Amino acid sequence: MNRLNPLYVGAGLVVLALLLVLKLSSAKEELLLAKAEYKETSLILSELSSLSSAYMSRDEVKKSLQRILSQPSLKSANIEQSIKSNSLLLRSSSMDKEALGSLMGKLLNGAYDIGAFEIKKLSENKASLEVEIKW
Amino acid sequence: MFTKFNTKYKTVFIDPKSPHYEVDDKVDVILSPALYWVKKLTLPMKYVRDVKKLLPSIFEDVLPAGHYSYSAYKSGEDFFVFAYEDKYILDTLTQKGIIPSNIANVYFAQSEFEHADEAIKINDEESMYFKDEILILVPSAFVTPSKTLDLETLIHSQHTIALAQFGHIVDNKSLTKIAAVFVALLLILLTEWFVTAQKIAEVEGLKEALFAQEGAKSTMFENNAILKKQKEIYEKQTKLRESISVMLTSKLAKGEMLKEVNFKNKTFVAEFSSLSAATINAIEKELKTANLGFKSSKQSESWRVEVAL
Repeated sequence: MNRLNPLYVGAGLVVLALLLVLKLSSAKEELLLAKAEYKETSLILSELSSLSSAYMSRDEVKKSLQRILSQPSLKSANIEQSIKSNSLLLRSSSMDKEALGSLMGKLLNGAYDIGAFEIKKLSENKASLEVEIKW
Repeated sequence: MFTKFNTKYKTVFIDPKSPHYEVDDKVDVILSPALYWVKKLTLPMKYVRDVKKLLPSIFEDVLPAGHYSYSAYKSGEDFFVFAYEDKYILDTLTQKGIIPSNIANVYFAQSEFEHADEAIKINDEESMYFKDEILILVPSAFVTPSKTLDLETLIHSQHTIALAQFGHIVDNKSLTKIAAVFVALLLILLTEWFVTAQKIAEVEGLKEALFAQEGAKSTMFENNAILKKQKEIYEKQTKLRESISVMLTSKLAKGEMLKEVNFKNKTFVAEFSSLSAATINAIEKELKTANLGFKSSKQSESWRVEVAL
């Protein structure tokens, strides 16, 4: 004869329903947050991917410069190359202005991460050059 | 289980005029005919369950207003059907000192004294006896002599009822309907919760796949740091190219010349010689238009401009 009061059962069900509603609402918020995070992560990683590939890698820099420096107009400039762990140095003590214009045009228009450079005018047609390209 | 089955409880007979009992243990209760309505029916039905469906309509015209429960059992080819008010019976029991938790089984006097062939005296004024197979209460004076009520040797029938303690608040059918609605609601909520949890797991999975696809570092902290560095490089290279463009596209008059350009430690420097004020103004204007922060200095023939990248 110890039967439960239906009001207690009703109250229990209402409390259970309320708890579930709260749990569901929190899960919905979590889902929205997860979606927003995914969107943000997607944007960041996409931007990171584009920027990471914006400049040439070590091998690409070497290959590209080899092609540029093998051009007849630059061969005469006696441009020295020295390779460091994370950069490459181009140096010419004297080169004519056409060769300088051609080389700088290619470097500035190409996807090179220029770390430093120095160009000094030596005479009307000659200049010295030092460029550091990073990767 | 066996203990419960074999337990023999003390039996009490309850009538509105019964004395007050001192009950500490569970008791079997026999209800006086004053506490229920009974009918004997011959119906073209085989099962009690079919008869039970008809009970509210069978008693409809007899009962005063109230919340009734119904019961029935089969005896031979006949059915004995009962109507009773749970709350009234429970209130009576409580008044007589029997609380619901002390009630083991509840029986109708109709079924428990089925074999009584004499009138049974239940108090100073009333006796009960069978008339047309229905146990009824009559003044004791009508049925003298009456034998006394002997509950010690009584063997109980199998016809018990369960009193609904809260039947007056809500009837079983409504309760079942309300409970069904709530259970359905809970199921919907649970399903929704499950689906949402699945979706969260799906998004997390997509995020992990994205990391693998882009070959990114495992934490966003590292990725953000790399992105910041890459952005700095990009901005610096863009500004460097803009600065060089301004310097190289500036129109120099005859005799004016660019002596040196260099870029080191985030600073781009250009040094000109013999620049006229007009040319200097033109270069400065170009730098401002390109939103490049700069500072310039003039020393005799040289004009030096520094752009912070």
